[in-house]
Amino acid sequence: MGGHMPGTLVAVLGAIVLGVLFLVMRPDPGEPYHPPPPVGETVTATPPVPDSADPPATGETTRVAKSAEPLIPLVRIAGHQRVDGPAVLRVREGDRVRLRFIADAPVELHLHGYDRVLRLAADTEQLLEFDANRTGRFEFELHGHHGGGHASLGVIEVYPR
Amino acid sequence: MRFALSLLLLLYASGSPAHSFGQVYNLPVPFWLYAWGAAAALVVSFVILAIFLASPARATTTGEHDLSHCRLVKVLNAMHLTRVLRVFSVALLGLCIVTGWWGDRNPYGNFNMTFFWIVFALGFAWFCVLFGNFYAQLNPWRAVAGWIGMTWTRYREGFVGYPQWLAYWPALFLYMGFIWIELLANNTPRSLAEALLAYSLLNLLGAGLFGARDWFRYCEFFSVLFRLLSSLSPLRVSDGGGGGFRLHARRPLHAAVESRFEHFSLLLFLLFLLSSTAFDGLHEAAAWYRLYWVDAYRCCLQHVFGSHPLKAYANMRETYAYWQTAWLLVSPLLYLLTYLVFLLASRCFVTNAPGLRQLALHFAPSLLPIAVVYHVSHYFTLIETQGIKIISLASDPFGWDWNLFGTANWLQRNFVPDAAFVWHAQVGLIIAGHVLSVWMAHLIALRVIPDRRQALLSQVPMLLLMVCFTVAGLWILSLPNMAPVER
Repeated sequence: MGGHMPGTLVAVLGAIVLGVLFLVMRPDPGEPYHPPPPVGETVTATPPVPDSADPPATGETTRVAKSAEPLIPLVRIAGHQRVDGPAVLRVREGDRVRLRFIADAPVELHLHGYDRVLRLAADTEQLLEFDANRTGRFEFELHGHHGGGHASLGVIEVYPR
Repeated sequence: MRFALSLLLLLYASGSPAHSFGQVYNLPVPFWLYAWGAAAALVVSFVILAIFLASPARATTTGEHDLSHCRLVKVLNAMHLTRVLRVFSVALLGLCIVTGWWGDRNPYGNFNMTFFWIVFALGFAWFCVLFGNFYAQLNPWRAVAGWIGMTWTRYREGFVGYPQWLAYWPALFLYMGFIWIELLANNTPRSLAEALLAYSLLNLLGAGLFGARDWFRYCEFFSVLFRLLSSLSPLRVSDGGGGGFRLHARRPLHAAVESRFEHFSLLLFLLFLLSSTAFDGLHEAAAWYRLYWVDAYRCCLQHVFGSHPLKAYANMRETYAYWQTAWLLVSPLLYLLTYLVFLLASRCFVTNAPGLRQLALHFAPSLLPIAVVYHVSHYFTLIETQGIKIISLASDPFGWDWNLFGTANWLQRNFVPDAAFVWHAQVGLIIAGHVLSVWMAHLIALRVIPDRRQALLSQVPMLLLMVCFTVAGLWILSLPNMAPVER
């Protein structure tokens, strides 16, 4: 049995090293979450209650911020496509998500995961508002376009606290 | 130029086909957790090496013993369980074809998509990893071929002998076709029904041509896949004669350790399981889209397709399908190359080592756990988000508002797994698979390489290979996905 001792010892040591490493590397739960940087043309929309120290990352964000209600991003839909506004909205769990939509024709919008449906009349702005109490990556899409097809507009990413 | 490039991506967004079936809400694994996972892979590898160095040499056995006299097995055999389930499995195959043909066109409203893609292709595969190869007993195509063979002896024995040189190549090519359909084709209930019907005909023809035994050993890819997966299992299922089954308990993993892969094509089959899962993760990532639509366009495609994005788009879109297919098919070769390079390094530590090909076949089973955990960590959330819908779909398989078993309205709400739980489960699974793979490679080395010291030294490169595969798997899980609009 003596031959087993060093093996067990190394295993215990390894477990301790990994445990300590995990605790050191894990971000503090109180700290604000830093999601991965935006990729390509992705726009990180400012959450409803934004950290004012965060400068807008791209030109498009600035444009969103300049619109009528500065803090609520507006998604503009034309020809069953998103033509303006954020493609990706990143928030943290528990945040209140608010997103305005406007379309050039009557459309039905569906947010996956939360199962929200928004019926838009032509050229009338509507607000999508809910508490982000589920974490994950949720697509919002148009229903019933091209005879039953679904056109994706963007995603809302809810990161855990 | 920047505008032109984003326009290309945007154009691709508007018409991109649906990918694999099922809603995935997963967020990319955060960087710190990915980095910790990579460190953990390295640390546990050396811990395992140290354990093997410290422990005395022991012969490994599967320690198999028969459970067939166990009361439960006897009762199940008395109930003709396998015979009943075989009929049930053929009925389910028929149901998938019929509902796909005549039922709801919405993939989420039709029984066949959820049953085939989630319950069978994912759930049942993992069931076989844990509980043994029940697929061999329940394979619907084999059952039908068996029934035909009962009355037609010539069909049962086959018209020609199976050519040895074909080995597992037919299974590999069929498996590649299956994954291509899963990842790159536009799947509908109808197209699935057509594919299942075509595959059924192929199986019945093939079983008649070469005989059921060889066809279901070498060519039917689900048989090959589930047999590979179940070699890790602590249970072995076999024919018990008289329509019953026998059950054997054994030490998990050890049967795989002792089974040298019999042919190179089987090794490629396993590597394709690994590489196609990796490809699935990669081909949804933002970086992957940019590689073609931005980087490749900027460096060379604009000279071929023209610098005006609107004109280039149509051609580029068509070429993109070939580009994706080519990467999918080449992917196992990349894994093979990596595997062989590290094996060559291993071989340097061993005097009178077996040939590279022999070594590659001997050590192949040690890649199984890594392949399994890649697969599970990519797809396990689909069981919660989509798999459980089978309960309501069973009551209304065609999507015609039936309620056969009174379950049609069960579990209708959305089930969204917690992102933090998913991250930790994914990383945990990948590390666990890594441990098992490194462990198995050590056992194989001690069995194949006579000199103990050389065997253990040879494992240093192997262990780095496993770290590479594991970190690649973690890296893919940590890649940010493409926003749907930008596809």
